[in-house]
Amino acid sequence: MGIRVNLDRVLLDRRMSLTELSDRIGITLANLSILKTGKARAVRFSTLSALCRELNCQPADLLVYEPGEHENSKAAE
Amino acid sequence: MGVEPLYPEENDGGAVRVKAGPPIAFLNVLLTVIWWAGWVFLGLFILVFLYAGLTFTGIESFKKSFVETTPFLVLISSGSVIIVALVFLVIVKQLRKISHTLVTGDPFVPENAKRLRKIWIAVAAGEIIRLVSTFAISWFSKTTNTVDLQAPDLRIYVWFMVLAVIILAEVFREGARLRQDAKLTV
Repeated sequence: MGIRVNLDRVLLDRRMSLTELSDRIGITLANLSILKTGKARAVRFSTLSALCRELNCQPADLLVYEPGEHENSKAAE
Repeated sequence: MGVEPLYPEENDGGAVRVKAGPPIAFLNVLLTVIWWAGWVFLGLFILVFLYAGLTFTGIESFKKSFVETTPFLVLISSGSVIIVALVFLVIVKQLRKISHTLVTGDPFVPENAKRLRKIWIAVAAGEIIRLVSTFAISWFSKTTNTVDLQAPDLRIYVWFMVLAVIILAEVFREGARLRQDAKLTV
């Protein structure tokens, strides 16, 4: 997928653990792990909003668009 | 793939986990009864098939028991019943597995789409075997003038059922995909 999640970097900057974030926003550790490892297929606005609130950041700090091979070939067409 | 629910309280919500109610429990019992009855039925027809087969060994006492029909005809008909019983057992086995996923809470799994696919293939195969065996018996009885049997008939409702199960299998496949998407939505 073309979207990369920068959650681990933001957490490192804030010196916050995934468990602490999980407790703060009320999302299970397993689901945060899915998000962190890039396995998530979609992110709810409510989740994104809770993450930005607790991490004091913007959605762009957490999500980065990286064109993959598929996107590149489409753009070439 | 086992994914925990997004919010812990979703465990208690009825929308996520389906509790096995009395109708599902009743269906499970019914399917178990049908499953074992199918095996008994299959066993009986295997015995009939073997008995008819023994006449070909040349023992006269076996041949004398066939008065109104011929051993060959019994062999063909019991053989086709055995195949249909096996097809029936394949269907019941798949239905039991689907019913089990319903009890455990999540029926929208990719395996159930595959199971429904197996069911429609089994129903279609069973119907084709029935048609071929009916045709064979009809042809044999005409040539030997033994028993006057009905000509093979094309049962439209069976093929309509096959079509319905194909559509259900596709619905389940899409349902399982959406469920997986929902599981991986954070």
